[in-house]
Amino acid sequence: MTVSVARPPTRKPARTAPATTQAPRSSFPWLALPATVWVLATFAIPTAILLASSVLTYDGAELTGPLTGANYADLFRNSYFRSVLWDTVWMSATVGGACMTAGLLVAHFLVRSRSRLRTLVLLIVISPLVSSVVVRTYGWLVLLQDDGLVNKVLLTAGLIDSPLPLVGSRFAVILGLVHVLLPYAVFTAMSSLQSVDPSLELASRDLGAGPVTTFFRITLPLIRPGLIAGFTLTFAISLGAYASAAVLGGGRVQTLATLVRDRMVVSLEWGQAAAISVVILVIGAVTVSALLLAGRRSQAGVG
Amino acid sequence: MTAHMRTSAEPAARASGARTSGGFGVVLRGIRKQFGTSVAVDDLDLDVRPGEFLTLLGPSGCGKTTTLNMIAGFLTPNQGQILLDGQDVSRQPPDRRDTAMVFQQYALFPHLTVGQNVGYGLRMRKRRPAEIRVLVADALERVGLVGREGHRPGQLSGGQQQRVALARAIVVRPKVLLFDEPLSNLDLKLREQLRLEIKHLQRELGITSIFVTHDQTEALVMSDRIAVMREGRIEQLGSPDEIYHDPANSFVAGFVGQSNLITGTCTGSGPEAGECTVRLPGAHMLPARLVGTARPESGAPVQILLRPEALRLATTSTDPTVPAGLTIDGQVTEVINEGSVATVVVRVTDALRLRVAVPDPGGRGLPSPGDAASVVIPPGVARALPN
Repeated sequence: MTVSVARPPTRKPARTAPATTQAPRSSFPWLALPATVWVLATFAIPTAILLASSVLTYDGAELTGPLTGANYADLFRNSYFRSVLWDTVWMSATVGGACMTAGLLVAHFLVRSRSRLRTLVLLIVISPLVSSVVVRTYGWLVLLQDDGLVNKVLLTAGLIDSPLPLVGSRFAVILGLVHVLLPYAVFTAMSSLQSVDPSLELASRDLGAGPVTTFFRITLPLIRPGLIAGFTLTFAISLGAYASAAVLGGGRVQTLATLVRDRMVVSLEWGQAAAISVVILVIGAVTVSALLLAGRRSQAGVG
Repeated sequence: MTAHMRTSAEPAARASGARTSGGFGVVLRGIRKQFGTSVAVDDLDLDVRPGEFLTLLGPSGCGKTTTLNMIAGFLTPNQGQILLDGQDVSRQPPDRRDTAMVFQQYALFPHLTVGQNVGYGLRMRKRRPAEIRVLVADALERVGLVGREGHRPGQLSGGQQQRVALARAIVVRPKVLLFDEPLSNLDLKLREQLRLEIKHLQRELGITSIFVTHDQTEALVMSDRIAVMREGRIEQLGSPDEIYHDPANSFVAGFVGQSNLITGTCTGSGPEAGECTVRLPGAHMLPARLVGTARPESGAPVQILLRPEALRLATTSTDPTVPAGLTIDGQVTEVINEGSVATVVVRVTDALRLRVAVPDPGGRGLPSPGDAASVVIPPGVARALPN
């Protein structure tokens, strides 16, 4: 998934910059070749096969024609699929929203504060990146299970009478995903905030706006493209996230990703699995395009 | 040094002064600001009079911008008080202080139009939209940008952007206008023009203004008074004329204007009161007026200031246009012609090289390096500075 961080909404450079001062073009376009080949081999080709298998028939040995929309028709007629689709979309949107809100708060602290705790906070924020997703997810399992830390604390405090069924809830899946994806959100928000000249915020304060007004009238509009990009990124990753949903969902929370697995491994309906994968891909692509377009538009307003 | 504390009887005088001039006073008392272990501003006292244009002038790192930021409320002093119109605002956030700043990098809000930028402060003050429209149009007219309300800051040139920033600051009619090197990003022509425009506007509105710059010409042209700062302290506070002609010490003399700073020896009091007679390197004797705290004893070394434009160059000893005075012979080592003025460096001895400004050099026939030349020091131009 490649979601570019939106270009920082800084002032345009002086219009007087003549074309001759542009940096000379790189004369080594083949430097991009290895990565391009790699992406083609590992992403584009499998995707093409996936697309093909969703519209062909698998007869047990090989894919055969003719082209058919039967897999998709079956899917969308199936009310269970539709409810899983809806669950996945709203859960991913919640994850994206929560990530960007929390990420923005953390990023604001990291970028604008001069506190000595910054390094520590930064380390904590990036810690999910350096541990395996399975380890992190099982960590949450330990915390959230019936005799886990969270339930013990709540029971001891007398807030609940019996353990909450946290594992296997959508809440647990969302929590796990937010944890995993928070670093992406923090980094996107940080790069946006860093591009906002602090003297703009000072000017706003100087003109009589309090800190909250300054944030909503000056800072937020300027970082909106970055926030949109960050939301898109975390939303798109959540759409297809499997490990968190499988482990923390405890088999009771079904998302598109776990559904793909079920259709492939349990019911052996590979055509259906491919079609669901394509649906994930399409939702992701459409969201990314729409939000990036919106981001570009609000950024154009900045120029 | 005229930085001083107000006595208790003076707030009333200040209030009446405020009424007549339409401005408000700013008083800094014992201000100190430290960043870690480095002291940026050190026990600073400053009294900005209502309606005056005061410049904080000094090299980078002298604490002038820190001082300005403390007045705006962007920084909090470690010690001391800031009084704005008699009210202690030292611990108030910037949005509670009636100040408005013009920033070096303009700091216009890029996502708002020019009109919204200028109207921002009025909106925060909950003024009615119709009133805001009128005031914004008036402010833009005052800075020569009639009808640009709908433009984006990014569509304007640097000079126009700074005019918008100026309009945004004056439109709220703050008690104090603060300028943080607002002209240093502009090219020379524009800078010279905007200096005068800002000065005129300030005089017209009568808003007390504090202007920070490292450009001594800017300070001399614009200010009612200049505070020359070094290492967090004020070296001298006075009118441009005082700062230029009677610098309190060699730092001020060297920082403001071109100067010849010569170390001589005091040989006793001079022909007139407040003078001492100084022996220059090369044994010439020159009476110099004592400045500030300078009270050199006989036989002690003393710094002499000679402004290049106060000196005259005589290529022939009988040049009738050259006034009488001490004449020192030497040899031209360098000629720097800037068009409207040329600087001729005359070497007398290795320890004594004099820079002489020759106005309108075009019609005069400048000497060439290597030529013999005499420098005439008219009476009354030499200053003896405290060490």
